[in-house]
This record gives sequence, C-alpha cells and structure tokens, in this order.
Amino acid sequence: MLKNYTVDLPPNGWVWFRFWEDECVVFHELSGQIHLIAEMGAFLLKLISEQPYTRSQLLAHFVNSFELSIDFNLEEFLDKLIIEYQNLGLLTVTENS
Amino acid sequence: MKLSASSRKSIVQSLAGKGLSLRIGSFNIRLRSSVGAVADHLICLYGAFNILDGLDFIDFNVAINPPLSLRRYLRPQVNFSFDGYFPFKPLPYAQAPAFFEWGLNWCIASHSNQFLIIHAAAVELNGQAFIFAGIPGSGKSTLSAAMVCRGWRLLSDEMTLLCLSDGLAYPVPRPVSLKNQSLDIIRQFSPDAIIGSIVNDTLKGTVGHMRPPDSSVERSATPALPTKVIFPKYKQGSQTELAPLSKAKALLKLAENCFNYSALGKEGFDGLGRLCDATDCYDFSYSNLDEAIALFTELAS
Repeated sequence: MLKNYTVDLPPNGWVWFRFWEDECVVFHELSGQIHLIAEMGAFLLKLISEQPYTRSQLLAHFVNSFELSIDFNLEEFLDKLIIEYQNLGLLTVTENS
Repeated sequence: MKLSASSRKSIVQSLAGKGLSLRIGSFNIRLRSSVGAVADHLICLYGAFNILDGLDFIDFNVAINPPLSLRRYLRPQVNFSFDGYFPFKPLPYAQAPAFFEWGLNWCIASHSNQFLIIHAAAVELNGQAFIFAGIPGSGKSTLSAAMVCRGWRLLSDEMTLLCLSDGLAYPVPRPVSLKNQSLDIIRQFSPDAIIGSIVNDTLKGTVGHMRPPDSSVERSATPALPTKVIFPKYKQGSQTELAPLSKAKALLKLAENCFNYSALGKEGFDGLGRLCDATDCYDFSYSNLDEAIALFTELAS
C-alpha cells in the first residue's frame, strides 16, 4: 500500500452522497449500486466530498475527531478503508511525487 | 359520470365493444373485456370512479380476454394485453379480475417514470401522507386498509407515486389488495368494508380487493405531502412498537423497494434523499390494528 497519496472523488461525477449525522448513503451512478456507510467511513467520505486530502491530512483529521484507543492502528485502518472504497469506485487514489 | 351511474348492461357492452375508459388517479385507462367477472369487479369496486368520454387521451389501453384457441373451452384462461402486447402468460379464467389489477400495476410501474414509484401503500390524514413501505407480506396493505376504514384517505395501495418535481405523493386510490389471512382480519375489523370476489390458488394465495372509500376517489386529483415513512411488520401477538430509523437506513430500504429507482438513476437517488430529508422514518411492528391506528392518528394530529 502506498504511504504518500491523495484521495479524491472519481473524476466523472459518478458518485453521489447524502449525509445524515454519522451516516451516509452513496450512490454509484455507473454501477447503480447504493452503499450505506457509517461512522469513520462516512467521516472519510464527508471530508473528500468537500476537497481532496492527502493521507497525512486525513490521519490528522481522524486523530482530532475520534477518541481512538491506544492499540488502534489508525494508519492500517485508513489504508484498508481507502482500498475498499477505491475498489467500489467511490474514490480515487493518486500517488504523490 | 361515475361508473355507479351506469347499468351493468351498458358497462358489459362498453367493455365488450370499444372499451370502458376510466380516470384512475393521474391516469386514463381504457379496458376491454368479454369476461363478465371483470364487469362485476368494476361495478363492485370502481363505482366512484369517473367514466371518460371518447376524446380523452388514454395512457393505458388494456384488455382481459380469453385466448382465441381451444383453451377458451378446456381449462379456460385469460390474457392481459397492453396496447396489443401480451406481457404475461395467461392465467386461469377465474383470476381475470385480479389479473386486471396486477396488469394495471405493471402498466403504471413500467411506464410512469415521471414518478419515483415505491412499493408502498400511502394514506393521508390532516394533510399528512404516511408511506408504508416494505416487502410483500409485511402487512402494509392490511394496515392501510384498516386505516382507510377508520377515516384516513387512501392515496394508494401497492405503489406510492412520488412526484420528482414537487415531492408530493400523487393518489391512485385503486382497490386495496388483501391476501390470505388479511381478508379475514379486515372483514372482522370492518364488517362494512366491501370486498370483491375472492380468487383462490393464485401465485399469491387467496386474493381479494377492498373497495376504496368514495371520498378517497373523489379527491384523486389532490396530492399530499409525505411526512412519515414507515416500514411495518405484522407479527401475530407482537406489541405495537414504533422505532425511529435513521434517514440513511430508510433511504437504503426505500431504494430496495423502488420499482424504477435504477431507471431514474441520480434523479431517483435525489428524490429518495429529499423524501428522507422531509420525513420522519420508522420501523414499526404491530399485531393490533386499533392500537396502530390510534398511534398514527395521534402522530398526524
């Protein structure tokens, strides 16, 4: 997994969001799939629906917004979440030079 | 002119001839049929609907007739046709009235993409439309039938038509489809309810239709603002329980119960999103109709 990347929405406007409190519903127009996403996943999508974020910026936002236990591996969690959403076509990942 | 003002003879003649045209909610339909039970079905359940003259635009030209074959005599069957097209395999002759209802459901669900069409019943009180969505067998028709027997307006059974431009629920107050034990439940709950002929051994079991209140039919041109989206679950002996449902989960469940969500794409997603924004959403379990109606009447007050 890359360690220096930027996360953004897919370029062609295929993905649409509805946010309510700590949940969101994502509609992928190309596939017709709809996804219910909660808590940290919704937080991530809320951020990138507003603007692109680098990995380090995202990590900082998560640290500031959630009370994470000491043994929680945030970096590993975020990387896995981003790969999962990338595979669903909900976001794009670009390696930073 | 209302259908109830016509004699059976003239209705039978119209159906067997050029067809009988009716205004049903937002739609004009013309029905042709040589089957006497279809005429009786209309007389019993569609008396409050207006007959159109021959000049109106017809949205759905449908017919229920026996096939032109030996099956006319041997285990007779009927076909449903729409603009001369046969979208379904024939059904037993005795199921002709129910076939008309199911066929018309298909016509509306397949050709009315100006609406977001949700598999849901909708009723209204005090200007508030309550939408009861859910899978077949969840008890939404039973609940809405009982509510209209207690004075709520029937907007629609089987499908809720949500206008994408104004967000209102548009009425199609057709007969309420009741299946199996729901027939007895409604008969006991409201002995005055008019239920048409009962058809046994359909794919859905035993089926009958309850006549919509005349007052609901008379207000067919008046849409209503949805204020509650409810996912009912009838379970014998269960407590009456209304549990708030998050808007995100409600949107997902509504999408699963939409007929034309995928056809509408983003427009459909936005329509469901606006519906969830504008309504309170709940899961609802019940077994006692009186308790359920009292609860919803209080919510609508």
